Amino acid sequence: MELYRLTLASILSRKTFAIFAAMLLALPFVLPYMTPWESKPSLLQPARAQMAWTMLWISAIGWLLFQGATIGDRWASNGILEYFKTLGVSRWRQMAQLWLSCFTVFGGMVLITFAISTFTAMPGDPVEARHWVVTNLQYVLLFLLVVAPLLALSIGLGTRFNGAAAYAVTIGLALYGLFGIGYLEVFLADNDNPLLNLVYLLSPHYHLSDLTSRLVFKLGSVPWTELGRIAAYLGGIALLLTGLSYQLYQEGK
Amino acid sequence: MTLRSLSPFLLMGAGLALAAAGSASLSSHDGLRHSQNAFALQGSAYGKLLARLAETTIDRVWHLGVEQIVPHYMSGESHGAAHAAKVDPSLATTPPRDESPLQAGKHWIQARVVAQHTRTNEKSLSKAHLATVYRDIERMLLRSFKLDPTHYGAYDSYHLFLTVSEFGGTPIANEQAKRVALAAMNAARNETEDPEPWLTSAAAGMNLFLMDSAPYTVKNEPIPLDMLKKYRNDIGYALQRFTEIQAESERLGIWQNLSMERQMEIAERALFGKRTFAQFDALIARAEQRLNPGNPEAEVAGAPEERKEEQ
Repeated sequence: MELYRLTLASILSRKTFAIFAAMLLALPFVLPYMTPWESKPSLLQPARAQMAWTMLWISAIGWLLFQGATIGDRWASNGILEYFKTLGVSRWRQMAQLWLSCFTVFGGMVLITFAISTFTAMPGDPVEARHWVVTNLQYVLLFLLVVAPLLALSIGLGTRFNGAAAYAVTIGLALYGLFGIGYLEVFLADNDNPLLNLVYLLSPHYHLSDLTSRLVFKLGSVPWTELGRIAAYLGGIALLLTGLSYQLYQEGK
Repeated sequence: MTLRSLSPFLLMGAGLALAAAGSASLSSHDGLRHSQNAFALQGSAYGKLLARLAETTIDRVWHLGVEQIVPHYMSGESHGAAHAAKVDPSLATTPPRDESPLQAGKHWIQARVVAQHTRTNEKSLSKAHLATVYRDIERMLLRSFKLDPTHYGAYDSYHLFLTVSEFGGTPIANEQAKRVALAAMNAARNETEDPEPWLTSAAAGMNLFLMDSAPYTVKNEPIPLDMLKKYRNDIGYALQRFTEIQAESERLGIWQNLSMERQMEIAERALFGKRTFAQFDALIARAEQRLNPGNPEAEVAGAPEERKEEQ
């Protein structure tokens, strides 16, 4: 676990995570008061949960994926990974340790988000409260299924290419899966082109993991069979990306 | 080949199979469809905030592009003053001489902002350019309406834009105006805390009534009784809900959070809505008398008063 400790120490000493962590802690409590809540105070609590989750997504895309890409690039360029290879640490183990070091810090952010969203915005009604907790747990699961393999991909790409390129590819994939598909869908509404429809079907539908509207509009938790389908789909993409990341991963440049 | 070297391929194969199975089962019931509302922005508290912030942008584009004058919020001048100043520059508002250095400084900066946006090109925008500006404004109005369909400003300005013949008024635009009005009425349906969406709903109902009854009024034919009753029910219900929720909001102390100006603005709008609504009883009485001439009690009323368009 030396590689894990080394990487974690490097992340902690760089302190960029602190900017995102501070925003994650502060904005869910500050920004709701900037909305026109005066005539509808019940807007405040869902707005808190919504901001916490939005900030977590921003931290994942803005910090986590960037961290993975630069760590992969830096360690592969400095020969650190080759050194660990000579010590007999396999590629799988190296990748897992790099991934875990980034996720140790990010896991804290996920916990903060879960706590803010669950405990500072819980509805008073017991039935609604149960739905609220379950929805938050479901959201954590789906969020991790999207973000965790993207981090592995950014590390894998970082070790092979330049850090900026690795970051650009993963952030592009994440943004496409979250937002771009929506635009493609609008375009396809009056277009029967089979190629574009195939692209649509093969795209990573990361937007399925976005349960924010279920929280904000108190829609209740996702039915379990449906959650199973979404989790299987996102889990499949996760396995695919993990295998791909391993193929991309290399110890030295 | 060892298992280790094969493992990433096994992983990818299993992943593909799982994703394909999940995708097939999701697309069988349209489960892959994008919500078109990422992070629930539309309709949320932040959507309401952004819809209000967008007003300034739309206002700026409108004044610079369509009216081709410096926006009032920049110049601090009213509509009349700007036109008067154009005719006679001496009528332009000049800052008073005995103001404090602080005020003088602020006026100086404001004058520079006005100069920054004042048109010096004698030629106005070409037709094609103007059409682009209209399209941009329409997009912004639609976006702002989607962000907060219960907001009176967002709804009504979009409705006016779609129905005023200079910009919209086409059959397609009128259809869109009807859809927008129905969306605004729907958005208010579950509101139990904030009275204002119900006023937006009442205004949307009135707009729908005016659009639906237009073919009859144009041909000078009587408006069908069913239509009158339907809209009296819809608009009456919205106004009744407004009154109930406003009273409840006052009782709970929420209403007092609003500034005096906002309270007065809402009250004035409510009064306007109630006055226009009062026409319905007279219209219905007249229609009933027409269908049933023997009834002497039915009151005879005039034609519906055209809605005054607020600017």
